[in-house]
Amino acid sequence: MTALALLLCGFLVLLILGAPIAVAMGLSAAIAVLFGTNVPLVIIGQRMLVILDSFTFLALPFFVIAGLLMEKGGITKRLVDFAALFVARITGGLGQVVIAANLAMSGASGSATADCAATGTVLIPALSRAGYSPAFAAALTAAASTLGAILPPSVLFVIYGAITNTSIGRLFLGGVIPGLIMAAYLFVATYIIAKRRGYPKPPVFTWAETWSITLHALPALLMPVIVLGGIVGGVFTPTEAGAVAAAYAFFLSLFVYREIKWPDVIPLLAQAATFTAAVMLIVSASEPFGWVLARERVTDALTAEFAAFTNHTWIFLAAVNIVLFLFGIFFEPVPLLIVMTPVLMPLLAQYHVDPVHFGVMITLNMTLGLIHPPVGLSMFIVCKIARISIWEFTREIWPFLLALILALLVITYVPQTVLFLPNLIGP
Amino acid sequence: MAEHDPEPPPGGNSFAGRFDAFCERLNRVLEVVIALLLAATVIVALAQVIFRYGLDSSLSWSEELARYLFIWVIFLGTSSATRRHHHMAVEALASIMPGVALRPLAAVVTLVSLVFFGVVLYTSIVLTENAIPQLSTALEISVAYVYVAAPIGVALTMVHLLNQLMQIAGGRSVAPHQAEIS
Repeated sequence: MTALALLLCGFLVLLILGAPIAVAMGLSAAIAVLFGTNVPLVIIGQRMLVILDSFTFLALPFFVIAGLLMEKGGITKRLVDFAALFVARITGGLGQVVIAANLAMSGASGSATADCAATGTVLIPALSRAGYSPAFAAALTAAASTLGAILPPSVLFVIYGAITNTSIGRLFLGGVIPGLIMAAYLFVATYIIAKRRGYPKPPVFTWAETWSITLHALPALLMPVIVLGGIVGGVFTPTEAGAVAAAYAFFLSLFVYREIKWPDVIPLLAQAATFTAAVMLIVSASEPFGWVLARERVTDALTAEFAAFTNHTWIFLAAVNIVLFLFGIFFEPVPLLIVMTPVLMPLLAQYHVDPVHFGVMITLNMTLGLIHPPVGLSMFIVCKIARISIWEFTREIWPFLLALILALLVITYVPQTVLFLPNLIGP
Repeated sequence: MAEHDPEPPPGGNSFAGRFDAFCERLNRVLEVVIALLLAATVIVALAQVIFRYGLDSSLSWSEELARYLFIWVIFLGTSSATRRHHHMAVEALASIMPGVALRPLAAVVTLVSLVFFGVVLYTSIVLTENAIPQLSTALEISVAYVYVAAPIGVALTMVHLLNQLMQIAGGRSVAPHQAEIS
């Protein structure tokens, strides 16, 4: 028991001090091994290195590169223009464009905050100019960007799949319908707010404009087709799909749209590598941490506790959602996913929860942490772009947050929303 | 050339200032290396697809090489993430602390990070030594060539952490943790 006490106390103290999460996990594990067990300290390095030797995790930097190239290489801009064609004439037109743009974007990029920054810089000023309040524009952008984490490809699904050995192809497919449900709810919320406030409709596009925008967007639209088609069709693994997506985005930005020059490539790759390293260090440090937990039979104890607490699946899922939502107030989705997934996974079997359904559910839950106050990365990004305070943001985000929580409830209690597609055409 | 630089380095010409400038240069060079390694990883993974479908002959070594390059990217990238304060952390306490407490807090966080990376440095050196006689399955190179990425990357990380400790002690800015993508 000393090892467990050392592990948990060390972890909490380091975390509260503000140490990097990887350091908090790795160092508390080292302290537990050194003072609570007879195992040589070298186990720390051993566990940390073994988990990194993974072809699956390699999908992470590849999709990050693809996302960065899309943002800086003009691919996002074309997709946003294209999305506007479909929804511009609906009430709250430009607001609906934000949702449609994120829908189009997330089909090729894998990250909510990357989408948030990319669409936010283009659309928040456009909405403000058209007479929308900047706070509304910011809140809507942040809410819509959560689609990026759920619609395939998704960096969070790659991490979850790699940790749990769940098929990433099935997770990607499983995210499609939930992403569309979220988009539909946000659509309705925007419609109601825009109608009440009398937000203007943008001018209608001429046929010539429509044609030109579609033509320019076509190469960009091929990206999700290649990625998803390739994985579902069994042409390549998710990791290879990531490499193909990165290469295709590189080709588009450098030679077709020509918004990136050769000297921009190295800093962009370095940025992707640095981010990947920061994530993988947490993955790596979570290994010795999990090793101590397993050695002290914490997961067994937790499973027994839960079994005594309830044998209803719906209560289990509600409990998981509430706990993760509370943790989401303090944690970013990436570290939260890495920390919590191994703890929760052993519980799935006893409640007959499908790992794909569970993965989509917890990913959506954690992504909400990005957009609600007091802290949230997407919230900070849009507040900076729109030059508004957290308080102004808070007053505008709640209808969208409610819409997304409603989507989370539907996805939690109707597993078919997730499982229908992977069961139908799963790889 | 530093001699012709009209502006003195941000930290002045003190040892701490020059050390900070050295760390910045070191990191710039390293980021080019990391970028090239990552580019190579993409190319290897692409080659794997092209050979399997285009040329109908699977490469035996491509996946292993991509994985090994990835390990190098991760450990060298860790030092760069440290230099740029990109490691994810919970900032709740720091955000409610009064201004005077921020510097001691940052110093403590940097110190515990140094201890952690010290543990990783020691254990990864032991593992690298043990790995020298082991040969990888596909490329048949010593696994030590892969594992040695860990002590090298971690040692570089510790150099950046020592520099940060020096900057904190010298009263220079305490940059917050910030992750850009998530």
